[in-house]
Amino acid sequence: MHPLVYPAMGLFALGVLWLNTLLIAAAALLHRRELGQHLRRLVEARRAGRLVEAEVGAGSGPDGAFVTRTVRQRGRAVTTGGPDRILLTEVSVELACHGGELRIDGTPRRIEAGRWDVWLAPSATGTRTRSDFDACFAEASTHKGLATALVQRVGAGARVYWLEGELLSAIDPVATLETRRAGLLAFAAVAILLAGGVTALALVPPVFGTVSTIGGALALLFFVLVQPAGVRVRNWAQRPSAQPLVELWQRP
Amino acid sequence: MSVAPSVALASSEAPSTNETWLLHHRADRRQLGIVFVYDALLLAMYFVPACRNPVFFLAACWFSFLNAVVIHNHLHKGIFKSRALNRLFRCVLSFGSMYPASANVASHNIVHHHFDDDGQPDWASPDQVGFRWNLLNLLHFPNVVGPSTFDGVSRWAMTTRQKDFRQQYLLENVVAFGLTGLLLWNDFWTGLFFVVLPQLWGARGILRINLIQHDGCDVRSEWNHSRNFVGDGFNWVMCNNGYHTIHHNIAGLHWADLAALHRAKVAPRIDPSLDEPSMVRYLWRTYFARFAPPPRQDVARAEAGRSGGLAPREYRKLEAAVASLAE
Repeated sequence: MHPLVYPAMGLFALGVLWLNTLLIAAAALLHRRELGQHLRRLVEARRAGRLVEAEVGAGSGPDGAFVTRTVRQRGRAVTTGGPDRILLTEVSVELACHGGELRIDGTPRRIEAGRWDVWLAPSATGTRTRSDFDACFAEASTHKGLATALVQRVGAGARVYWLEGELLSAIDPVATLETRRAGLLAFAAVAILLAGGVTALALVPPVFGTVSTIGGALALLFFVLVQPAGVRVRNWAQRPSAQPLVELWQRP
Repeated sequence: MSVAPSVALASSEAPSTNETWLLHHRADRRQLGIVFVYDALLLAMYFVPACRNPVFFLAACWFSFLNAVVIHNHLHKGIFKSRALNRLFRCVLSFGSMYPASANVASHNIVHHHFDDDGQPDWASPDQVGFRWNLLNLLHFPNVVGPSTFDGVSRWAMTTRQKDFRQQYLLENVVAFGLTGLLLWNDFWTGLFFVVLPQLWGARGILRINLIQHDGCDVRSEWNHSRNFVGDGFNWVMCNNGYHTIHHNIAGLHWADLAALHRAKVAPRIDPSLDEPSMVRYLWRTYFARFAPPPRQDVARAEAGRSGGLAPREYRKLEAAVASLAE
């Protein structure tokens, strides 16, 4: 029977590396294209004066909220060492767009209640519906876990970007999408460059010699790391409203 | 905490009792044989140059996939009566697939079986890939689902109440990566070509199965959430892992008992398109003979009026969490 010669196996292994690198890069570029379609709409809206910066004058919702975003959460007690903590993950999001008054270029404008996408800053805080840590920790230590919610409000005085009927954002949506698109492109380019680098190193003559072996080891390491990197970049580049909230609540 | 079984089984359908002095079920000798043959193939290729040929290599890739199937079955129900042996066997299996077998407790038993991570999607959801060329989805799927799964397992490990989970998980990591690393250190290229490549084939293959068994299904339904592959030969080799719907619904059932229950409980309730006679033909039809993903069908309508017979999904999830503490 013909033995499997090492050069043939090496080419096969490099083929696996390149196929998967290109797939990961292509997925990032596909994601970039989707964001690009969204970005184009926003840029056109900004040019047409429909995407504007504004300040919330007043909200028609409870406690003067213009928008209320309620994040239903499941809490699980952390069982590793250290202080008592509850890991809170997002179960679902309920959005209430109450409307109210927006000041655009200093001119007040009435906005009716409606349904639009809401982007909050990553640092946005909120009010927890349950505040007794001891009781919550006990509940979080059961199989069922803790059911709680974080209520985030956009109210009077908040600086926002407003696209009539479509988007209320606490962060510049155009800059946000541009940054994410740039990140996706950079990731795809770096992944391909690194794959090229380790391939070149693995093919340094004499193939299977010391330098070539170091290249092979780096190629394996790259193969193992590029996959989680791709997922991290994908998660980072999601629309802010699609990014699930994960929090750690530590005993005060 | 004790929980009642999710489905009441008629006496004729009750799981068979085939215990041996060592094993919970004598059919598990097949699983032990798979793992023995697989590890022997890897070691033979690594140590004996004459064994580095296409037959051994392809056999090792195939048995690597079966090793991952055994991980799946073993993590649902330990093969051995001895808890210590079960834990040791997890380490052996972890080396074979180069990932810690205990990851399945969270990723498969608790999250995937209920298609839910406390409100977030299953880490192995088919929706994680979106190429218009469907073959690329099959190829790319492990690149996304693997990291998502291990992120999820790490998060779950922070909160598990299974006291020795983290210790066992660490041990399996040490065995899987340590032993593979030693083989690579000793002879990098032989280790890469004849150990790591088969390991990766199996580990990535078992991730792909999630796409194959659930893409185009309705994970909100009780009986039409999975695609079944019902060929007899296929299921003999695959330890009945083709009968996926009944396995999802009654996770504690031994794999040797799945075929009869599939015919009795599942077949009358599922869309005929989810009862595939051949996986090879399905793969050809779905990923090679066409460009785009197949159009979606409302498969859940097949169970209209017949969706009963199961405990609520939330209850079954609780069962899985309780079972995870016991193994």
